[in-house]
Amino acid sequence: MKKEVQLNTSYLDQMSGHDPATRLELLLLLAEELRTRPPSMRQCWEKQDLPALRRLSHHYKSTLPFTGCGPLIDANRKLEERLKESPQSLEIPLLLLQIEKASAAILLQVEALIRQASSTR
Amino acid sequence: MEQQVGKLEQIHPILLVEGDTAHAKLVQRYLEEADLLNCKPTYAESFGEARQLLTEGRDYAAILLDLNLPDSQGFETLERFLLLFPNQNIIVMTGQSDRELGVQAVKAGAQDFLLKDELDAPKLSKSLRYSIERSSILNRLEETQRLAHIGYWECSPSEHFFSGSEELYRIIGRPYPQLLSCEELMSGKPPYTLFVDLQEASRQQGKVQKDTWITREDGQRRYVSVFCKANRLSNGAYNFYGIIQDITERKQAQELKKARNLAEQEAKVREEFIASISHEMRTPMNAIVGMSNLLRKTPLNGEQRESVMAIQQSSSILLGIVNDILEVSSLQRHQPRFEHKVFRLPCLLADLVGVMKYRAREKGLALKLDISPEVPEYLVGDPLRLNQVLYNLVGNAIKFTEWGRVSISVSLMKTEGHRVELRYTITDTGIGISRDKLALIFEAFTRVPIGNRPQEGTGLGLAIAQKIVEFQGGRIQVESEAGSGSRFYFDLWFGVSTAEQLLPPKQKDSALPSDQAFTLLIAEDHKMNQVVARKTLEQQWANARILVADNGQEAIDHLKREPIHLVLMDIQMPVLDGLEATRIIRQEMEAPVNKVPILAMTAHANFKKNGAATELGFDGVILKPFEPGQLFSAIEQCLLVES
Repeated sequence: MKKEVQLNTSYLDQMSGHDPATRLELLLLLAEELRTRPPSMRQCWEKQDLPALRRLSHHYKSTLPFTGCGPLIDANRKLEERLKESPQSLEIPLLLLQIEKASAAILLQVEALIRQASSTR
Repeated sequence: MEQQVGKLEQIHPILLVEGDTAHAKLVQRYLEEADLLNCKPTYAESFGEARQLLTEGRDYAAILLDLNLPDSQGFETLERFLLLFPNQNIIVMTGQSDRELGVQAVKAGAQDFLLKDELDAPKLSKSLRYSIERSSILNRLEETQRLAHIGYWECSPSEHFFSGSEELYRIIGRPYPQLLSCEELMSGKPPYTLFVDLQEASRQQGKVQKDTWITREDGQRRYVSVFCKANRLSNGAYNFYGIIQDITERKQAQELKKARNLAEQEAKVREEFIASISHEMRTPMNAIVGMSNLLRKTPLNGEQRESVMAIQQSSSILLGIVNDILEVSSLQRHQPRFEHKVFRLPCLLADLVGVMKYRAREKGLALKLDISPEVPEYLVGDPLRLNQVLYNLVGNAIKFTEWGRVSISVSLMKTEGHRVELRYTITDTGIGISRDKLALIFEAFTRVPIGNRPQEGTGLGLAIAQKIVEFQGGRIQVESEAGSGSRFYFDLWFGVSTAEQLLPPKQKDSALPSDQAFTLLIAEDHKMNQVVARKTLEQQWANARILVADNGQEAIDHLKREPIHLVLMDIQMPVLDGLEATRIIRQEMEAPVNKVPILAMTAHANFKKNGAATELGFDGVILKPFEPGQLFSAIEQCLLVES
């Protein structure tokens, strides 16, 4: 898992229409999502508020294509599925942990890109 | 009363088997005198003569049997009769000295016995009447049991006695009257293991009931419901009686129902799976379809432009495949709603030809349209579905024709009041289809190899077209032979209308100018999607004012504050979702705000089906991932109609 957690910005670049300002805007939003979403999901899990956790996971699904990170996208997809079909699954906390770790790793890479983009502006 | 008269008047054929001719005459006289019974006696002097009559199939209400015949003597006479004709109603006649023989005869299966010395007309008629009635009741019971597939048996192992009904024999697959002995039953060989087990269980529990499979004597498997009861006799031994019912058909129907329910459940899971997969496929396609459009607007060299166009073409094909799979899956489970709107048939067909002529021209084919003069111009029906079917058939005709022509013709078949039945025929000079393949071409997910050509597309188009026509009461027929072209045709009913009833057509083809000023509200909770949607729209309409709301409530607040020309509404949002927000706008807000065009944006393909979105108050649906062209076209349509 650790080796595969790699940011791939090709989707983000395309969605920004190759406009540097839009790209930076999307990177900033992505960083914000990566920073805040996993802790919110963790909170829901600790409160055992599974419907809220599922909503957050669904929302995160729209974010993750911008990371281009397959394992992270896959873990979140599985989490949403498990929450829908088998909320008692023991896999849920493991998937949540994977999402947290991968999000943190991707966040570092996104922040590096933001610094790089800001310095060139 | 009438019934009694009817009974008295019924003629009962009686077979008198008597070795003593003098006694036979006496009995015949008694029978004539019998006032309770209307008898028609037939006389047989010997066992052989009687057997001849019975073998010929003559039906007798009763047999009066003397046991001492010239060719058969004593108890054996009865046994021979019972063996050969087990269903006959036999009354034995014995002498005074043979009273014990008479008792044994009744135990063995005779209905009654009469002592010759004490015989007179009333006794004879009484015995006959009771035995005939009893026999009739037994026959009716037997018939009922046969119809209900219920057999019964009695078994007394200590007396080596077993008796079973005809239906029992039928159920266990043993030819009747190849009678089963008690010893054979107790041997425990299949299928008699069941009886031994039942008797053993009922000995302990009093009575038992079970449903089980048995293997009959002829090897057939049947499912039976059996009941057995034990009676303890005074000597401590037991006798048993029970019933057995063949319920194989019921069991099979239950199994079939179970299998059908399972299949329906599987179909539902498959449908959900397909919808889910399509949803998953659409999301990454957002990048491919949408952004390749944006990419085309950036400075590109020739090679790059070609690459982008190839991406666009491939993604369009992929979208078509996803849509076909969704459509056929939906049509297999639900009947679609059909519109009943006025349309102008020549326009619909001209548009179709206009679209298809480029494909025909590329292959050097002539594309002909022929509408019979008697076909009404204005019809009532579902023009979109009609177009879908014709598009499919004409598209196939062009695909499988390398030279010559493709013709579309419409002719009038019937007229009934304000309705007409029209025949649509698509003929081509293509490679045709061999006869053995014709039946398969409408099967979904079945690919029929045609000629040596590689198979293009999903192969679902004809299945979809057939379903659409069938749901409207028609059926697509095909006539073709390999190498001789094909002719596809179908008949459908339409209402007849007039030009006045045709609503002004929407100005679909008039594009909204790129400098058009208008206000558009995007209700979407996902910030990054907000940016992408805004960016896409701003690139198309530089003067458009794009507002963004994070949820349905904010969208409503915006609508209260300022004039908005169009809303793009995401469905799943926090605070207030898109469905509820739309309901509030439509039902609780005042005009003109409640009329604002609202386009739903969703990744759930099912939302677009069956007009659900329209019922929920949306003016249209944009499926995510959207093609910018599709998004722009939907927006243009709403805004042009509004203006």
